[in-house]
Amino acid sequence: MSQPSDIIQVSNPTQTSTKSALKGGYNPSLGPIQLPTSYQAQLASTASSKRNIYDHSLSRRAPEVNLSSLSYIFNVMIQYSQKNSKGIQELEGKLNTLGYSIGPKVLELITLREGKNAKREIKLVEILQFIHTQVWRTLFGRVADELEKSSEADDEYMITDKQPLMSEFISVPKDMGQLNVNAFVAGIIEGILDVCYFQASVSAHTVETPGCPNRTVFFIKFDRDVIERENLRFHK
Amino acid sequence: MSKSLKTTGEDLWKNKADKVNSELFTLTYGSIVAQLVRDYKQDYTQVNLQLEKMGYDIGIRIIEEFLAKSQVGRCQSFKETSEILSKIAFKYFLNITPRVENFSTDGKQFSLILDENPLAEFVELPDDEKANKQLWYSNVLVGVLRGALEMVQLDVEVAFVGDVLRGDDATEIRLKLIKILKDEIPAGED
Amino acid sequence: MTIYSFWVFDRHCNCIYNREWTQVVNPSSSTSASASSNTPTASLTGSINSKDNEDTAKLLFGTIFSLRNISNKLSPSSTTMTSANSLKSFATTNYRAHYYETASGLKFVAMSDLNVKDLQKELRFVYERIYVDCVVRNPLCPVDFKHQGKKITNGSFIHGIDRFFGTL
Repeated sequence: MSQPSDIIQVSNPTQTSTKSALKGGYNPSLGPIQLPTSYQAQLASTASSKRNIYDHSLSRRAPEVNLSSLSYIFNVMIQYSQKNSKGIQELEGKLNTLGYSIGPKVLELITLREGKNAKREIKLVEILQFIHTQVWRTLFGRVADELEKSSEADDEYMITDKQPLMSEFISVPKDMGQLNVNAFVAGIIEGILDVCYFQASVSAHTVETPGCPNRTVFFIKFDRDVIERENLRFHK
Repeated sequence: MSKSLKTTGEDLWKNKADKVNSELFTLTYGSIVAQLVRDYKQDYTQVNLQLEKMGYDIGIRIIEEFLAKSQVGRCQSFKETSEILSKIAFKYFLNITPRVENFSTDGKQFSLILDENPLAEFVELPDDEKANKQLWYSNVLVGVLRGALEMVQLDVEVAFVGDVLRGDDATEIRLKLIKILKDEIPAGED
Repeated sequence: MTIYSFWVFDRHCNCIYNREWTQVVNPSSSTSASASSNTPTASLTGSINSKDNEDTAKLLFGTIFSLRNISNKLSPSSTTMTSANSLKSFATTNYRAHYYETASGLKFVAMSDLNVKDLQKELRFVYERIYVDCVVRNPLCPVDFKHQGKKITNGSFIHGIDRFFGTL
């Protein structure tokens, strides 16, 4: 902590350590809990107050790590999921679930960083644009390539990424044909849409073009209810 | 010597690493740990083991990338290994430089102290005694180090001995050199 | 410049990749380069991981293994593997065998005509950009080939090798 390079420690630890030592920190129905000073002291003396995550600021710009470290971690995730799956579909399902679990967290982080400019998207097209632009920029450092509406059905949309970051180093063997590991990213999108009350199922499909063998289309199919709500609200 | 290693590490990070938002990294790793905890029904010893296995699989790959990018040759001493790990390898892959401390007198053991840990950023262990006592959240690192060092013929015992997530003073990984492995010999030769 | 064949050995002393070009690969003939990058099987231009090469592979490995040990012994600081006196190539009347070994014990060998003096940089490139990118970073491709007979069969690696040696 005394390291000058330690930029994580934004707030002053000596000031906040006693407060933040509260386990659970905040009770939604009561607000912040004030414990008796004796108890606070006791808590502070236990090691758990040493470096508490509540001392860190979430608003700072995220630091970076090597993309390959992420790919290695992602790789073991794929391997682990593959071991426990019977087929491609099940594997993609597992990756989707893993992504789904972090979708809401990604959303929270982005809205928090936007501060005053943050707003809750209630229009379908706007939430899709938010994903296409802000979410992509936060996670992958650039916006996605295309955002399209299906010409065949009113509940289907597509986000295209010509060179998805997560699968940059993955060449799928022939016997795994249709596998697209971006099912994980599809899961993140689904997770975000769900917490925003735009229930949908999202899947990732490889649609190769010359020069872009990994080009991936994220196919988003909204629940019927969502479309009906949208029509009632904005189109009638 | 250590000065130049530091510069090497920084140059490598600056010029040869493709960079990505560390939160995506943290969250991705977190989703794996959470999945393991579910799959092994809160048996944290098993989770530790699985994380180490995953790490080992990463280690035997990551070493090749490291050697290729860094152009580092074989180490002449375990001391040199410790410096290269901290100043070049950790810098290149995770953009951190753990402190090398507590070298044993025989030169075969040392600790890496992680003041920052991108794997566990904003992580809080579940509020139960068991997880706090048993789970080594970042145990994947143990496997990575063991696997990678084995590939350069260093048989090393690696273990976490402290983690700030558990309330310890520091996040500390202990490395202990068991032996230097010999080249494998082709069948039929002596 | 002519490259006749290319070999990779792992630290378990097994040949994990071999590639033989029967057709002359040289920079002026664009046909061979495009043929090798377009046809994944590349059966017209030689063999990949051919069974017939197993004995050759073993002999080649044995030769290199001994030469490498000898050159290490000749080095004044022979206690550890320093880069001070490492094997780089050896020649016969018709061939030169180029050798590059990584600290992790991978061994890359290329056979060329005698005009090719040094391929260290090229073999290093193969390791750094083709092996690492196509094998190491590809989760669906194994990196430990312990069980005899296992080879690198990954398409992007095969393409990468053919393309690279095609441009030399």
